[in-house]
Amino acid sequence: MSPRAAWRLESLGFDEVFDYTAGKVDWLAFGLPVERDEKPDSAMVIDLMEREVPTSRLDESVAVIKQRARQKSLPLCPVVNQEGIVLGVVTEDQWNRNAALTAEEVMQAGPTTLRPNVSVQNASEFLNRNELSAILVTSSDGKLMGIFKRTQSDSKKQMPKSDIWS
Amino acid sequence: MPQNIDRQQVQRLIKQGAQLVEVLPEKQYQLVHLPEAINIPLQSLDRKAAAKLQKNRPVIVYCYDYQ
Repeated sequence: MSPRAAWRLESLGFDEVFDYTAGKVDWLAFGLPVERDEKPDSAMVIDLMEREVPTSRLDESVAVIKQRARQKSLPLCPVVNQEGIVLGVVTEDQWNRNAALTAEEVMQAGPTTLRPNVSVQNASEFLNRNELSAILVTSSDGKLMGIFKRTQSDSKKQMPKSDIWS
Repeated sequence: MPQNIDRQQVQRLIKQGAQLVEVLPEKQYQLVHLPEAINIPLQSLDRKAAAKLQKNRPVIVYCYDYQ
């Protein structure tokens, strides 16, 4: 959408036109200041998601993943590459059945993820509809940003603390 | 010719006086937008809407992501 807008502005006689292609999602992902709707029901996933998420490499054992995720009381562990791009996810069910295998052998590849600016209401509905307890949050280029849990959506439909948005 | 820029370049250009334009629909703009960005949805971007912008200052457009 923004490339077309940039070209349209150029056609309208603007000489210096720039396209921030990564857009609003990228800005939000880095916690930069924003202006926003202050209604209580306008909370977004980025406001409530857990940011400290343990991750796994492809070659790590399921036993290690299980231990790492349990320390944070998480029902899943994302598998990422060196750039932090989500390659898959290992869930509680998988690590309980396959402790001797590696992440690559048991992971669910290409898991569904949420963008950080999805509303909490929509994210909650998505979790309920798909009977999920948690879902990964990624930026538009696939980088892991956090995890959004059902408990967060159920109990904290509120605006973020001010320090999040500085 | 429009140039693609990243987050750091956006911040630098804003300090230099660039104008920010979100081209998403109004509802999405109202939910959250970059500081001091104005909203001109792509479908409304015509000569009249563009008159809100100053031609002697850089303009940065953005939407949701790489769509």
